[in-house]
Amino acid sequence: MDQEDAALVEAFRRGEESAFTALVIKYRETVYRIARRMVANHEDGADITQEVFIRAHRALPRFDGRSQLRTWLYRITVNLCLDFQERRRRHTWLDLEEVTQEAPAEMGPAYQAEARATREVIARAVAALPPRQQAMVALRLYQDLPYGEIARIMGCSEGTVKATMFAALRKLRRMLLAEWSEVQR
Amino acid sequence: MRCHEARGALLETLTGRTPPDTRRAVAAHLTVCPACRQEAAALEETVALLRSAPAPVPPEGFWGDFMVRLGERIERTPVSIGARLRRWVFAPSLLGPAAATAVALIILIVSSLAQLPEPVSAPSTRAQVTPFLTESMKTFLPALAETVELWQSGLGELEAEPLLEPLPESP
Repeated sequence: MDQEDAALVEAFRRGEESAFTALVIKYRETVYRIARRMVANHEDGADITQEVFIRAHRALPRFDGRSQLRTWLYRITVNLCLDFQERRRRHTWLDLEEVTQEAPAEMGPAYQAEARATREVIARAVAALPPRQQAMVALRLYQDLPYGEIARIMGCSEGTVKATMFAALRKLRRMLLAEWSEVQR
Repeated sequence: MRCHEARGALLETLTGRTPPDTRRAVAAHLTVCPACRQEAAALEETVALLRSAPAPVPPEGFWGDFMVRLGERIERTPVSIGARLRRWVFAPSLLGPAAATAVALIILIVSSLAQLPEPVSAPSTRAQVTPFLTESMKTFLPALAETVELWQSGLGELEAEPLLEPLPESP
């Protein structure tokens, strides 16, 4: 385990609540980003992020330290997102206002419109993937985690992760091409 | 490198960190295989497009509220006695002292058991009766003395010799 994380976990077990706060501050943004890539809007992403740390607080005394703390936290995150999606039953509603709000204004209206269209297309395509594929895309392409760690988070082999990623990328390409041709029309 | 190997390595090359020799082998294969080259270009374009999507950013002031709400929820969450005990027991800093205390307790119990006095054996029947039967009592109450002697030689005398000789063994 990462030395800083190990020290914080030990301090928390000794009863120092501030050590847990330090862990939350260290990981909250990554947890939020993974959740946000897998659920449709900010509110759901925020709720899941909160739930991840509630569960971590409860389970941390039992954390055996055999895996990295971040792997353990991301696993909780992915599982909560998968449960959430299962409850919503492929609910792919997207808050496009949120997705497109980061378009840079200084680049001019034409660029802004194109960037907005690209982001909408990408968001729709990723949201249409099966939940596990969404998780792998989020962890590999956006969090840059190694395939071995993704395999531990997802509870499968590294080969399965690679095969699933390959399939997801091909599917995304097809969807992006189809969406893009719709936008161009 | 063959096509299926090249496509397997392609994913790593485009999305991860590959050793230089694998990267060179993939590049060499792509120069001679148009189908894999097309696949590689498509994948590369897709990955680049997906990565161009900006990271989701929460609204301004979100993390401050988040920490406050998290703190409130953690305080409201009831912690079971088992969880408290586990947290205490599994604390690595307490494991050493706890183990030392347990060993010390075991040693203390074993040594105190070893030092217990030998159990006092019950006095013999003769020893119990003799102090009550004085010489004057034997003189004045000969019948009682005779009864006591008879009892001592029979039922009361545990160490008495057998009345009959054991039978000889058959040849």
